[in-house]
Amino acid sequence: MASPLEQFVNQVRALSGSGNLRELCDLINKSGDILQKNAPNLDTALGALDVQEHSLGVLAILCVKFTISPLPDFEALFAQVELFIAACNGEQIRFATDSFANLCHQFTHALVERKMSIRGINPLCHAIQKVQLHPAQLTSVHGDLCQLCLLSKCMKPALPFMDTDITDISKESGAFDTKHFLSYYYYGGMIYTALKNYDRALYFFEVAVTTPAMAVSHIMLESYKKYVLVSLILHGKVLQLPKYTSQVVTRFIKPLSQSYHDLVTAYNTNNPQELRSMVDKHRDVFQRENTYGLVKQCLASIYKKNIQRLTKTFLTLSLADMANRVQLSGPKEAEKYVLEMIEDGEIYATIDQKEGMVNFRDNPEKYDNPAMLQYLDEEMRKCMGLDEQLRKMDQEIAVNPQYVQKSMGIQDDDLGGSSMGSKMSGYNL
Amino acid sequence: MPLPVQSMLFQPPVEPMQIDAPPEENDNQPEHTFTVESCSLDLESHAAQYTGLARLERLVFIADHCPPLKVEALRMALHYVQRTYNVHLYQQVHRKLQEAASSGVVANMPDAVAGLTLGVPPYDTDWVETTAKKAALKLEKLDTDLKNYKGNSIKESIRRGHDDLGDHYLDCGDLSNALKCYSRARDYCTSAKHVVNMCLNVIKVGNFSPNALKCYSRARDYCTSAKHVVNMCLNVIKVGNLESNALKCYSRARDYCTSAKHVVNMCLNVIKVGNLSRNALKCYSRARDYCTSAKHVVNMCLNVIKVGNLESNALKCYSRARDYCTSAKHVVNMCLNVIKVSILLQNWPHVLSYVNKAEATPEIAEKGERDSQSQSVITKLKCAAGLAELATKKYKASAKYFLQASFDHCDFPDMLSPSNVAIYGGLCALATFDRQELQKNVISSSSFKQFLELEPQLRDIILKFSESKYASCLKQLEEIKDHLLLDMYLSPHINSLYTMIRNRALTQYFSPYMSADMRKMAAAFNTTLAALEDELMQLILDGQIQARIDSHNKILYARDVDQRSTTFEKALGMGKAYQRRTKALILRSAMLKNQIHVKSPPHDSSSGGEASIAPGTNASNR
Repeated sequence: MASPLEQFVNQVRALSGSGNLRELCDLINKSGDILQKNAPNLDTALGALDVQEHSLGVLAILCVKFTISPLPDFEALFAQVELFIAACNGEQIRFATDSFANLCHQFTHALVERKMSIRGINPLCHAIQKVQLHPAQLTSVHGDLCQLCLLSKCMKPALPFMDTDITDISKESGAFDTKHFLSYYYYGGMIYTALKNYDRALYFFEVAVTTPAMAVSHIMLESYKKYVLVSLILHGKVLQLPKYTSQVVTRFIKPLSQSYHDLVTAYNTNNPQELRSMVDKHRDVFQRENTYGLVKQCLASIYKKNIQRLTKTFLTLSLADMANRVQLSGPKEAEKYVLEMIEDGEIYATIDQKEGMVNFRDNPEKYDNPAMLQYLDEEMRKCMGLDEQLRKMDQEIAVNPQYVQKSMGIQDDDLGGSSMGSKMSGYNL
Repeated sequence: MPLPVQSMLFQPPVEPMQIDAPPEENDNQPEHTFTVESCSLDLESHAAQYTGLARLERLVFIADHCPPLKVEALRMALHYVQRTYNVHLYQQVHRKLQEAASSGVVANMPDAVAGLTLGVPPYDTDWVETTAKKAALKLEKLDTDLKNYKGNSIKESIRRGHDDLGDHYLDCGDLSNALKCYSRARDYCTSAKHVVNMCLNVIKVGNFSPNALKCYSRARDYCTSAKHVVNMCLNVIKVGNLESNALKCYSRARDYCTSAKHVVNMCLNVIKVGNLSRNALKCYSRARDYCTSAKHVVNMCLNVIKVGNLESNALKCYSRARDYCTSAKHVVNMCLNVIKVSILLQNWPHVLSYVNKAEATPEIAEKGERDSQSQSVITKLKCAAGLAELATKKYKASAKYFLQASFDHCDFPDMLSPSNVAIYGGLCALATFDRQELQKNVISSSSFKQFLELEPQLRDIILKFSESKYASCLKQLEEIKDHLLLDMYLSPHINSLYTMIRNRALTQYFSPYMSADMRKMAAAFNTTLAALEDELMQLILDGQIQARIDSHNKILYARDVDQRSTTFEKALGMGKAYQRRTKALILRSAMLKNQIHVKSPPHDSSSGGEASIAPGTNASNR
């Protein structure tokens, strides 16, 4: 019996055995139709292939299986994918990162549809580790993982990946789309926000917002809104976006987030009353856009910010006076805020309950203990590490033949190559 | 023909328009921007400029627009109205006065009491009745007189009869009847003068354009000289303020003009009334034909610009005049003119650029001996520059310019008075100079001292400030505030200047101390502890005072900054920022390498593009 499917399986086995992976990839790309037509018999074919030895073949079959609608037996498929991801041969997989990523996307999509997000977290963690060349490489699976973590409200597994700063992006044979990039940084920002790691969240949103753009992306728009809110919560003002932010942001995204800008204006008056009325005014918008929770945190942060302002001007202040100055309901509430802020290390103060006074102090840190020295050392190391990295990148560019050719003034192509961006993209094609 | 009425109508054109305008501006300002508690506008002298209905209307206008003067103005109006037969207006004014009185005082006070406390005269029923009766009687008498005249068919008498009747109606405030009478007199006019008078009467009553036009055409036939025509036109326009009239008159009067001067004058008159750019430009081009020298051109341009307040005109004229400049002196003159106009236009950058231009001419730039004329030019330039800097809120530069003015040569009433210079310069210096600068440049400056002599109050304030007697200094400042608020150039800046002066005083007071008792400080600044605390807080937040407040013991401590700690803090912050920025840049270079950017999908650029990249689980768990 030499049915096309059988032929396919045989060829896969042969090519995998001889290690001729490139040819195998070509074969697989060509035989998509055959697999599609033999959908009911795919399981048999799968049985004939070994996950470890014929990873590419298995990958192709699994990908096709996801395209069958409706999925006949999801549980079985889930088990197959889980097994495949756990046991596949990384070396082979890297020849078809696009199909592998595609498999992960479809896997994620199916899980989200069935509201079983939490089950996918573990396999995807493995998947990322399998397909990455090094830990600082971004793959399109990152976004999927963040999405699953966010949906299942189980954030921790994604943290090791997100805490690593990305220096490289996997090309995935051209299949890596901006959408994956944006959604990773957007979901990542959301995860950090949920964990109240606002500094990092702000960084993630900033990356999303500053992505080069020729058109308005909804992900960027949502990221911008959250960037504004998180920035308010963290810094009490909206930080300036970097200069390289694309014009689309100022021209289209900012006008689209008018309610948020109104909120910022109200926040800048330092008047909680005004902020509250502005929140009430735009409540519908915030609730519809699911940002009301963050907005409420902004509202709470304005009190803290005002108390922090007080520490700059006062040495001692009675609780009643403080409540009056920051428009809290009374000494009780003021005490609560101050207590919280002292505990969080946001201000340095002591409360004198007998007199009802707060004594503000300077930062007690004198920068003279070993722990601080170690911390300083670490920070310096980090900076030096980054510096080293930059130097390497510079070197890489300097010895790039295309770059050398261009900078020598030999213009053999009609590209002007005046801007940094086009230069960099030019010689990496 | 009652002469006073005529003179009243002729009086305003004698005044240049700019002088006419400021009082009204001042009246308006309180309503729009602030309320002047004690308006220094002298109501009596203001009102004395007018008679008859004009006075009443002015007073009512002031009452409507200037709350502090409301009662006073209405009372004067009421007083004056009793001299006429105008019962209706009397009732109106009285009602307004009563309203003003009752709203001004505590609401629960009964009207009568409130009226008494504010000196509101009770409603004079007797007067109303007798006046009404008298008016009726007089009307009857005039009516019969007129009938008699008609019976005798003596034209002049009939005309006078009509006029008298019209006067009476006007006195009673019955405008439409007065108009009828006056216009009826027309048929009996025998000379040009009569016609003009008649027209004037008609116009006085109805300041309506159709009437004005009619009268104009009527009177024209009797005019024999250009002067007549111009005068007549002027009158017409003054009342019916219409562009079309102005233009017509202009073209009419032109035929009678024989010299350039006439043309310019005539144009000027026309423009003064119809203040339209189109007219100004036309007149300008017309008058130019008669100009024989550069001076004429400049003058003429200046005149035009003064009235037609358009920047474009100023520029045009300027460029025109420049062509005729033959010497440095001319250039300076030209610059001065342009500056003057620019000030009127409140085009401050222009003022500054021309000051620079004028100063660059060799005559001014030469540092050697200067005759008094060039001195006065320099002073004028300095003051103009000072004014421009003031208007653009650069108070320190403004003070410096004003301080360079020379008292002996400060004579240009069309721009600023010496006391203006003293006040502007003094206040700006007070607000921006530090102690030494103040001592050196203001107090011991021999030339500016002379200016300050004109404003002894301000001199005292400056001296008190430098003697650190802040309480009395600030108190005196507060006293002259209302007066300053009515200065059209200064009033927008008063509040910020005052705050700056006060802040400077606070910082100066605290500068020598390590710790200061806030109770004593509050006493020195004539304020309460709480208010002082707020002020200090603001200053500390702005970084103007390096201190912290001990609110418990009410002591202000100078802040001692631990340089070592701050350096550490800064270094750590800088390191963090560096890391963050570098990471973002490395990521960005990776992004560019991989050509990651949002692009519109090929099929549809706008709405479809957004949808196709929309995340499916947008904002999922918030």
